[in-house]
Amino acid sequence: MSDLSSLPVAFDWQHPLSAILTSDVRAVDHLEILARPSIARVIAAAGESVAVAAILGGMAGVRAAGPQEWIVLDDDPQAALPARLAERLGSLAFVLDAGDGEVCLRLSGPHCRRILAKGVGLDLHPDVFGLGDGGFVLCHAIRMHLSRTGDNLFEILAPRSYATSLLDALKRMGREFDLSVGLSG
Amino acid sequence: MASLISCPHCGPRPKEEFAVRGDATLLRPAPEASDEAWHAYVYLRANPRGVHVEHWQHVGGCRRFLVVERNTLTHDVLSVADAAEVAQGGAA
Repeated sequence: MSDLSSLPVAFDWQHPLSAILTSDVRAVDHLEILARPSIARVIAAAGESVAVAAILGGMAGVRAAGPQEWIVLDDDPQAALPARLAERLGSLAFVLDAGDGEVCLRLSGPHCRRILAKGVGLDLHPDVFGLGDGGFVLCHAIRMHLSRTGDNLFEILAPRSYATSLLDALKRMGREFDLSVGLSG
Repeated sequence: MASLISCPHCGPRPKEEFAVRGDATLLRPAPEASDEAWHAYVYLRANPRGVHVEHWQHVGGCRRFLVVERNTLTHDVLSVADAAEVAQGGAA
């Protein structure tokens, strides 16, 4: 048996999109790549979805992610969100720290719906896809979480292994509108 | 096949988000059932011209298994329900 204690315990964390070329000028339609948000995925224990929904309902940054499932996001990487949620929800739910597993992108601008319409098979009209609505969708064969967080603001969460492919797709979707891309922070 | 399936959790979605998982009307025989019953369960499928009841999984969305009733002649989707609820209700 090898001695595991000799393995390094501190890893150099790198954003999967840190090497991409960002736009020099910010256009009206902009795709912001969040530096390192704190992300927690919550799945309610059997029969506890109403109780979990009631607790999460009073919190900020909660996105619906399907039946009995939620994603909670905080821009601050030091928020220790998963630990706080796990403490608060106790045995009502399972909480997973997804901060290192997912990337978060924010698409804003007057043409954001027309950009998304090139890849997402979803009715994004403001009357249909309201503020706070969200769910998993397929975009250019990549399963991502899409939520509407503002009038012309959409938030995208995708696995980090798909980040470069998804960004490439989003850039092509936004080329018609001169979509700019930039890292936040 | 219709181009949209109304997922009970996610709403109307393009059929490309779903994966078909086969006939939903089959009932698994008992372990001691005859070879004929197992052969029929594993291999024999009716392919009617008209209404099919199938399991579809919303792989691009909520990942739930659904029971979709659709018509192969008119391409209408007649009903969509969560497979877990169907199993608990004893329907399908």
